[in-house]
Amino acid sequence: MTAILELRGVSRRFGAFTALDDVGFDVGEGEAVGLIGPNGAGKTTLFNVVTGFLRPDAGSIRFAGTPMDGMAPARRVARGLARTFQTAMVFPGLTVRENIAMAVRQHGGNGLRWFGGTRANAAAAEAARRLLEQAGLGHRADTPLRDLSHGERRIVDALMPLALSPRLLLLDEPTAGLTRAESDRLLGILRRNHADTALLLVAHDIDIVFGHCDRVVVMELGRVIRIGTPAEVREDAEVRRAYLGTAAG
Amino acid sequence: MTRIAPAAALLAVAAALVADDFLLRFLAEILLIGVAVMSLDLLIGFGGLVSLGHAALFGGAAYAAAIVARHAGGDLLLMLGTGIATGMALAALMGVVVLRSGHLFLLILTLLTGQMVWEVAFHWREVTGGADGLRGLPGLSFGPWALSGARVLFLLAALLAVAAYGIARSFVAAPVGRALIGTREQPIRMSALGYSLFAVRFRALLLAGALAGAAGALFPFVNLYVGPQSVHWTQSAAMVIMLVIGGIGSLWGAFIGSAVYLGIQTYLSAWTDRWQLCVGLVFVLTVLLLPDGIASGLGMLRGRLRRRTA
Repeated sequence: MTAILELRGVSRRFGAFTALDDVGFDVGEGEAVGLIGPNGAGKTTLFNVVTGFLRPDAGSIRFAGTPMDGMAPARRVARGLARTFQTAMVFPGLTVRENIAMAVRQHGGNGLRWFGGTRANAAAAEAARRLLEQAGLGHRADTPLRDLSHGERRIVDALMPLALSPRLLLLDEPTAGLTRAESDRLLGILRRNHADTALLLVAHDIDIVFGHCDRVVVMELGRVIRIGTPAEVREDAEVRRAYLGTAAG
Repeated sequence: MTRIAPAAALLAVAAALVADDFLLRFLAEILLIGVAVMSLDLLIGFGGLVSLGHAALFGGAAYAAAIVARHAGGDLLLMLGTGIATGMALAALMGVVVLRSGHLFLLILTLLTGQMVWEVAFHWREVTGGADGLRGLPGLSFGPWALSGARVLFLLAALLAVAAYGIARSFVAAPVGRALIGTREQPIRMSALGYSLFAVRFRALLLAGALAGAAGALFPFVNLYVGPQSVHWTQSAAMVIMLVIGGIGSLWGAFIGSAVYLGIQTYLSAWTDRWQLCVGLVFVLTVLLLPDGIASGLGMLRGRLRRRTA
């Protein structure tokens, strides 16, 4: 499998605290990789480094074969690298359709258009409607986002970067606060409708990770301690000690 | 708004027919400063970028137009071109300096860059007249026609206000305007969607500079004078006050705010030099009773009347 994301020796420190320590792994084209670990393991820091919101102190990040060193977040997005955040970052005053359209316009190169804006807005609204229909939220397209349930907001939050047709989508705890059924629905939408998009998924619910990911990367205190299939990781003694505990398995 | 536009046009024509010269010049001043305040609304109301240097764009354009008029005459298109170019150039310079920071730093940086323009206006006496400012400008003209007299200047100001309002409305409704709102609401998300915050905000600042510059270009011909006070940071602060009173984020509230502020300044200052106390009182009352400004209060009133008649 061709690697879409290659991390080698990535480190990041905050003063005396080492948040990432020599992190290295690959994500393949169209692959779903779970990233698990206890709080403070460095998962979100890794997301921030990969997407350009933080600079690494050492190591290299290659995306689709291109070094990402010093590249601004917006340029990484243009190359097909998209993400969500731990908390849903949506536009509550806009409708559901307008939220998605914000991403569609940018992906179509119309995000900063002024003249001919009416046509660009109409095209983006139509594309947003299609995406919402696929996700089963077509009936909520004209609802102000603030009126959605938490679960629906989470789906919209994940659909926004999907509207960019990314090659790799980093999902930072997209299932936080969702029921198991809602989580399965969200990840089902992502895997079913966007099979070409590789996923790097952080979730505290390890059953969700094991159920939806092809491989799992386990982190502890900024280091990668295990990479393997869900079955391999579930049986690994060090992982059980560091993260899963005796209750798992 | 579709009903407000013809009503405003009708009001402008009626005012032009019945008002005396003093009132017409005063109304023209309200409209021109209203355009500048509306351009500030693009930054504050839609972009969340609070500026204390906006008067530098308006006043800088006023100075530039006055200086060019002294040497090349007061041709309307030349004045507007000079004002727009100056407003945009100053906005671009300001943008490069201030747009990579936010919140308090943005506020201070806009104040400082604005004050740099004031320094130039105040100390470059040979060109700007220093503390005395510039007077005795040639009249405005359009080709062979002289555009003199309060009535013509008022109608010009009204035309500019309508055009500027239409331009600002089309900007905020276009994708770039939606993106500007996005950068105000969720800047990190906008970056993650691939938007360059700088590019979005810089465009808004350039447009604000162009609109403020166009209004500034006509201002010396209405006011018959341009002085360093027009670029001072206190004038920028006054614009922010006008915007808050009129209604942030409504665009047309800027004209109400400037009318209230300048009305108090012009009419009350004839009675007392403590007119700013009254401005403060109106400001506090607006913030307490109509936090979204008079424009929003009028909107609510209109909604109630509609419901009652329905």
